[in-house]
Amino acid sequence: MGGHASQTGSVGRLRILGISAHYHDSAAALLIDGVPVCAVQEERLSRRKNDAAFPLAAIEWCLDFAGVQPEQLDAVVFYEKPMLKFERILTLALRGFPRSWPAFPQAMKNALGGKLWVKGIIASELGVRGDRILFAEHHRSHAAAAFLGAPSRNAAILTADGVGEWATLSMGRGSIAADGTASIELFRELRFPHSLGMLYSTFTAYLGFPVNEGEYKVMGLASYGQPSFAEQVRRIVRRTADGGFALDLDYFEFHEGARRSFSKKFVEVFGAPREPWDPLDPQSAEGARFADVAASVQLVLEEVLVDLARSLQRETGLDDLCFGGGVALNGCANARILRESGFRNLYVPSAPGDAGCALGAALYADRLHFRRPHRPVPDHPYWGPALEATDLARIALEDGLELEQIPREPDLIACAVDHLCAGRIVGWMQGRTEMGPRALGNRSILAAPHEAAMRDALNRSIKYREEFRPFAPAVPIEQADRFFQLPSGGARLGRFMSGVFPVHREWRSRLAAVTHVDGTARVQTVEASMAPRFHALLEAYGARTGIPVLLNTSFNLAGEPIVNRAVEGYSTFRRSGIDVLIAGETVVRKRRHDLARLEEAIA
Amino acid sequence: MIRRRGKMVRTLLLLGSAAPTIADGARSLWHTEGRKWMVPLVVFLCVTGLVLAVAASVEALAPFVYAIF
Repeated sequence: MGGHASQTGSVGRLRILGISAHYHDSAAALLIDGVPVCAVQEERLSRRKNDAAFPLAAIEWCLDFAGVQPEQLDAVVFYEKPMLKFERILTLALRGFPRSWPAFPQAMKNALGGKLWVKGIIASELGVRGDRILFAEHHRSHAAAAFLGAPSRNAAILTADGVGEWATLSMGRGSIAADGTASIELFRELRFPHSLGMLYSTFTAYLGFPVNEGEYKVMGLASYGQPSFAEQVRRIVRRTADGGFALDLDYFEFHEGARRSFSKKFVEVFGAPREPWDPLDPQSAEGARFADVAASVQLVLEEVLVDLARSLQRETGLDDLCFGGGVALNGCANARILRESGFRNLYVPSAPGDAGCALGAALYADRLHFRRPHRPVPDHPYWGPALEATDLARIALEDGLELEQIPREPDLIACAVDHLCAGRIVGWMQGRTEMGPRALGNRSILAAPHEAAMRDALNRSIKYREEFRPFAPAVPIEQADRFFQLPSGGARLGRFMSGVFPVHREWRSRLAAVTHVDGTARVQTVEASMAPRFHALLEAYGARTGIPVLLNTSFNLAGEPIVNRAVEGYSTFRRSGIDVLIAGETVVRKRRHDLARLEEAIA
Repeated sequence: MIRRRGKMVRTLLLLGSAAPTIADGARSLWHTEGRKWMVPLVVFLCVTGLVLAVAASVEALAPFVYAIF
C-alpha cells in the first residue's frame, strides 16, 4: 500500500475514509474502529447516473453523518494506484504505436489533467495531510471488499473486472486468524489486455448497448438466443496451459484506442454490429443473431469463470469463495460457479464493482496496513442516507394528492398489501439507501409478480426499457426453495440478488412477471434480520395471496440513478406510472385523472 | 463540513503533492524490471501535464503558457 500513514497497533478510535473515483461509479465509505459506518455512491447525491467525478458530495455526506471533520481522519485511502495505471496507459500506447497514437492525446489529457494527481486533489479538497493519504491496488480493494465484508474467516478470493492498474483478474485466499489478524494473499493475476470484463464489454458495445451499463442487457438478451457462436468466441478467448486465458487481440481494438472496442476481424466473424438506435426484437432474424451472439459470449464467460473457480477450489481446498469486481454482477455466471466449482458458499458483496472498492480500500487499510484486528462487517447493503419523509407530506398536499400517515407498521404493511393486491405499482422507500447497483427493498418499485402484463406495464410506463429485460422477484428466505430451485448456498447468493436460478416449473405461470424467457429469475432472498419491514411485507402479501413473492425493481427511471431522498422518489412517482408512493410511514396516491392523463401521455 | 478553499490555495496544494507523486512513480518504474527507460518519459509527461493542468485552472497563468513552451 502506498503512502506513509503511521502504523498503529493500538486499538484506538481510527477513522478511515475510502474513496473510489475517476472511472465509473465513484463512491465514498467511512470506517470507524474497523466497522463501516456509512457508504454512498456519488450518483445518488449528484443525480448523474454512474457519476465518475471525485465524490465530494459523498465524502461530505459521510463525514457529516459520522460527525467527523476532515482533519480528524487518520487515513484517506484511494482504491487504486493512479501512477501504476498511468504507466499501463503509456506502455500500451508505446507498444501499440502507430495505431494507438490517435487516442494518445485524449488518454494523456485524461490522466495528466487530473486522474494522476489524486493525492493533490484529496489534499486540496479535504485539507488532509499528504502523509495520511494512502493508495490500495485496485484488485486488492476488490478482494478486501469481497472477503473482509463476507461472513467467512477462511476463503478463496476471485476478482475479475475490466481493468484496474494492470490486473484484470486475480486469484488468492484470505484468512482471519484467531487473534483477528487478517491476511489477503493474491497469488495469481491476469493482466491487461486479457480481460473477461473487457471481453464482455466489447460484446456489449457490439450489441449496441452502453459499456459499463448495458452488460445487464447482454445477460438478459442471452436467454433469448442459442450459443451458436460459442466456438467462434472460444477461438478468440484462448485457454492457456496454466488454467488462464488470453484474448486474441486481432479481434479487439480497446487496448489501442477508445474509438471502438472491436476490430474488422471481429465483425467478419460475428456480422455487422447493432447500432444503438436500432430496435432489437429477438424474434426477428437480425435480433435472433444478436441474441445468439449474447448467448455465446455468456456461455464462454461462464465456462472460463467456472474453470478458474474450480482450479482455485482445488488449489485452496476451501469451502468459501469471495467473488468481487464488476464481473461478479453476472448472476448467471455466479449461479454456475456455485453449482459447478466445488465451493459450498459464494459470497458476492452488494457492490462488487468499483463503487464497493471505496469500502474495500478502507477495510484493506484498516486490517492490512494498520494491522488492526478484524471485526465482522454488518451483513447488509444499507449504508447510505436514511429516508427523511418530512417534506413529502407538504409537497404532496400542495399538489392536492391523497395522502395518509400510517405510523403503525402492521397497518402500513396492510395498506401496501391492499394496493399490491389491487394490481397497483408501489414505490417503496424505507430506511437507508442501498450501496450497490441493486434496490434491495429500501428504494424499490414493487408490484404483484403474477401476470406478464405487469412486466409489460412496468416496462412501458415506468422503466421505459427493452422488453427482453427481466424483473427480479423478492421472497422471504424461509420460503425461497418453494418457488425457486436453489442449489446449496443459493439462498445466501440471493441475499444481494447476485444469482440467477430456475423458477420451479409449476410456479412459472403464476410468477410470470418475474420469470425470464428461459424459466429463471434473479432472486432476492430476504431475511428478517436484514430487512425486517420488507420481510414483513412479503409475508403479509403471502398470507393474503398464498404467494409471498413480489416483483422488486430499482426505484428509478431509465437513465437516472436510483432515488435517494423522498422528494426524488416523489418526482419519479409523479413522472411515471407508479400508482402509490410509500415513503416511511407516508402513503401518497395519484388521483384518477392524473393517472389517465399520464397513461395518455405515455401512449 | 468540508471547508471550501480558494482556487489558488487548492492549486498550490495540488502542486505541493505533485513532486512526491512523480517521485513515487519514477521510483516504482526504476525498480521494475525492464521499465527503467520509461522514467525520463514519465517525468517529462507528468511535469508537462502538471504545467498545463495548473495553467488551465489558474487563469492568471494562462498567458505565460506560450512563454513556457
